[in-house]
Amino acid sequence: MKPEKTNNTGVNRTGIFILLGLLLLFVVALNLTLGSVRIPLKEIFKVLFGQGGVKDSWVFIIQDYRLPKIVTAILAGIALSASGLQMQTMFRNPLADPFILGINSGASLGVAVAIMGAGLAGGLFIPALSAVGDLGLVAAASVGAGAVMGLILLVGKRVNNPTTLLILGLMFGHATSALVSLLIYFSAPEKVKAYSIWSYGAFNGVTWDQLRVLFPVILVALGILAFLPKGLNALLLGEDYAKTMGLNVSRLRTLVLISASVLSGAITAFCGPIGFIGVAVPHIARNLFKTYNHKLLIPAVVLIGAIVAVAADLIAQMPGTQFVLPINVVTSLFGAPFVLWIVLKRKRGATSFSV
Amino acid sequence: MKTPLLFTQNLEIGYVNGKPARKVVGSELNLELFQGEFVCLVGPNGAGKSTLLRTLTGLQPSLGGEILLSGKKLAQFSRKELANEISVVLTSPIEVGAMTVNELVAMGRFPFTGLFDRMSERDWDVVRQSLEMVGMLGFEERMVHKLSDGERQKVMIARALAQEPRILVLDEPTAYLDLPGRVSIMNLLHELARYHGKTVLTSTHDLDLAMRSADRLWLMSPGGKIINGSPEDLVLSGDFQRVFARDRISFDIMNGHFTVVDNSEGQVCLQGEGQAKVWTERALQRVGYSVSINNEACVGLRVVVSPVDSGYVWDVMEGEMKKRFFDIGSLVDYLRR
Amino acid sequence: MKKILTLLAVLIIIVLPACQVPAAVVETEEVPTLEALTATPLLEDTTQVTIDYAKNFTLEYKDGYKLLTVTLPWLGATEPLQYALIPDGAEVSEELGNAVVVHTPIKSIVSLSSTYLPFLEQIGELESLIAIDTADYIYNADVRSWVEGGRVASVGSGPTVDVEKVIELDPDLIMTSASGSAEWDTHPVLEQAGLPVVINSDYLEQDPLGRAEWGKFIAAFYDKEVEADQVFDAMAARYEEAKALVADQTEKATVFVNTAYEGTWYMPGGDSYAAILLRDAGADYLWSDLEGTGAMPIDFEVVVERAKDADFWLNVGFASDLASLAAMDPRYADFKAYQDGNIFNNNARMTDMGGTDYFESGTANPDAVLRDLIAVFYPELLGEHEFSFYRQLQ
Repeated sequence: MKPEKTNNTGVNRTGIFILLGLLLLFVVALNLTLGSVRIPLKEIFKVLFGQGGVKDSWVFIIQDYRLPKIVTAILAGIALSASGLQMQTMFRNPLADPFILGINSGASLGVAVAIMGAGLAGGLFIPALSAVGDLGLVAAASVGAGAVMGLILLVGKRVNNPTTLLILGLMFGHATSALVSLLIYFSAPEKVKAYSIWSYGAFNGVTWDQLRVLFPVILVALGILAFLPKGLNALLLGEDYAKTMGLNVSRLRTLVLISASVLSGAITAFCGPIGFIGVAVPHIARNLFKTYNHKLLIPAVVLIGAIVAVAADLIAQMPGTQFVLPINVVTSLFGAPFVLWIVLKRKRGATSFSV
Repeated sequence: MKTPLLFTQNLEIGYVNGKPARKVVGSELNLELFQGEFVCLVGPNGAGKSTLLRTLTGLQPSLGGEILLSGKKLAQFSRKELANEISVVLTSPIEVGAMTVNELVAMGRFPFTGLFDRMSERDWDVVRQSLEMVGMLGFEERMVHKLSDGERQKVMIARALAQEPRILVLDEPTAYLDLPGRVSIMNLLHELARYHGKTVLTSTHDLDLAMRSADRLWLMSPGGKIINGSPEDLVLSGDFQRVFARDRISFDIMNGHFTVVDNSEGQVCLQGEGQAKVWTERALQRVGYSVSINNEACVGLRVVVSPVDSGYVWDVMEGEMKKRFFDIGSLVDYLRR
Repeated sequence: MKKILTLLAVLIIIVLPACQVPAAVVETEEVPTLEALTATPLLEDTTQVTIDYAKNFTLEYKDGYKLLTVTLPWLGATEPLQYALIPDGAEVSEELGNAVVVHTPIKSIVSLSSTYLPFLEQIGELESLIAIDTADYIYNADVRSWVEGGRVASVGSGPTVDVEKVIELDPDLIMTSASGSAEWDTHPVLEQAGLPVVINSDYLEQDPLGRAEWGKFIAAFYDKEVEADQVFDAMAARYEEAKALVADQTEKATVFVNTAYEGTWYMPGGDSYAAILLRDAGADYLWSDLEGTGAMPIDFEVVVERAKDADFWLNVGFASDLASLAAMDPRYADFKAYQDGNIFNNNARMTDMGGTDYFESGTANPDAVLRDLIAVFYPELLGEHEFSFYRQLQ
């Protein structure tokens, strides 16, 4: 007989979901209205509902600038959080983030080579790449991220122990970082500055055209994740238990790696590396809903991730001023104390993820 | 002649990939496990008990030989099929805490719920029955990380039971438990076999409890060989002795426990009856005397314990000397100086 | 106790780097104007030149030597650098303090920036060049062929500069710019090797004429500052002439510059070199109100709001035509300047590797740049004009 109450945590989960949904709408609305340029709410609605009579530049700003930016932020928040959740479960480590396997570093290496590698390659016309502009960087980053992901998958099949995989991922990360440092060392300041700016992360560089590529990619990776909650739950008990419960652990691991890598790699390719969201959001979700169950956690991180990313973008915009902050600055400012808190909290006894 | 549920033939277990490249931990293992019995795998540390269990449950490949489960080779089972045959309880506590007992036990239904993990009425029934079998009814809504170690292991056993396996395999389930916890678990396992007809195979260091509750023992020696039989047979045949022998440690066949053989103080004759005699003898052995109960040919040191109204008195005699003590503590202190 | 000490040590290590107090910009003395000097009772000395526009260096004629002071060697520098230019064979009795002694005239030079080359050319000393940092961005055809032929060496720059090669070449002088941070600078490594290095901070001058006046700085080392002065005066006169042409413009052309990168638009400040040129060309630079001389990160949407209907769009990075510009970001096509085709880039003269002459001889010839700009904004004013640095994107 099914138990009457499956949730005795005192937490009204449906209620929280509804609240989160409302909160998302709220931050989106806020982000839409508060920009560097003051546009009255009425005019915004006019544009959204296709009515005419609005200043040209405002129509453009809302349709071609703020809306794609918000969509990008939402996608990024969802993708990074979902990826982080999977990494934390797979390694049973509360500090795991989407980039723990070095995907990020691979993307950075791709971009670094594109921006700074020309001089060393002796003759490549980098301006040609720049003329393709941001899309060229997206391609370079994708290649880098993809290469690392391929390596991880290859190695992942042969390695039984997730800890080994983790160490390998970290080593890939270090190796690529070292190569990037090498490039920086030999490059002129302007190029290094260009690379740095890429590494600050930005949601507002992504146009509708680029979203046409990014959106389906994220959707597919999330689609894979949709089939994994049961396996992920089992994985929480440990790989040995999961195996004896009938789970095909190596297939699960491959799927998780693919989904998580694509999610984080794609976002990094289009937006640059964005930190902290992937680590923090799964914890927020776990604590808010007081659950380990991925059937609940996955939709939870999706919602919360979107909210966090849109809010971060809102802050980064520095509404009212002409200037704009890099996203990573905002996520670090809020993320670092948060991660510190996670680490300290662990010492005080069992928590939702007492690793 | 019953057919065994699990049956190995010339099984060779060990590691490939370590140093040296191929390490054989056990070989020529011909084992049988029958329906409804409770078997304990015992042996000194490092003999390879965990390796054996991991090999039998498919967590680790064998190095040679055959394992047959219900007549079919182990290697031919898919993971899912194997989950229906065997479920496990491992030594280390799990790392996740924020689940209710119900949720944890429900995980045992994993092989039966579909891709999206939907629990049916029957699934919940099994969960409840499993909790009942381990005596944890009423704990359903408790959070796992708030349970005591013993309670948590019982819940893990319930989870393994909920998987409705044919064989329940446990690897040192009592390692982190206190004495009452250990007794409780071993007793539970015994009951699962005896009253619920489950087949249970567990490894353990609790020799005493194992001997009292197991139907059979698989006695694994450091060389990687297994002798199997009923606990009492293994003791009487001296196999138990041999496997666990170490310098100056011997197995006291009469009393069923291990003692440190220490006769440094010499011999003493003990005269007395009942529980007083038994416990005096223990105390004398503890301080290094070898005790003889034969009273006729008694020279040298003699201890006589006699009942009096208020308890017992102890008289120590040697030659002309005679002293009286009113508790074992002072007797022993005297003898020790 | 141990814990307190460790904590203290950690705190110190964290705080120490932050203690680098940014220096206030070193104030230069009021440079005396031409009139003021000639008004002194001294005999008019035609072998001396004055520095009238440049703010970051001074040239003083002392007893038997010249003293060049670079007042701002790099942003955040706390002390000026001084060079005592003493004629070969002569000796000076005065206390020179920290000034670095250079014997003039020099016969060979290593130039680690392409901006110095036109200045060498205008005093006829281009042939004293024996090495450069890299030929990739150099426009000057002579120099390029010299590099190819091996007459001029490439030694790189920054901390990885080929010190041994430079030592082997034994130049009389090495001229380079500096940033003040050891990660990028070339001069510490060279100074350590005992080589004669001079810091040139022309890029910090924002006034176009001031920047061009650094030609005199370079010429001083060859004892040819008078020649440089003459070239400069002629050029400055042409500059002022062009500037006067547009001084009365009432209907000013509106203009904005640069492109976005990762959603952020770095826009030069209102007091920057680029802004001053635009102003002198009689245009209305839409961010002339932006404070400072550096480029500030402006939100894309602000640029849209303010510049969507601007007449002209300049300096669009590496874009070679309208199509590739739109490929960088399709939203660029929404600007009126794009739709009207009024986009001009300063890469009319460009090398394969993307080096443009704008940054090379443009620095020495701001009058030509100005005329190009005026021709962009007000073509009717100049009549037939051949563009030197700017070209219209097609």
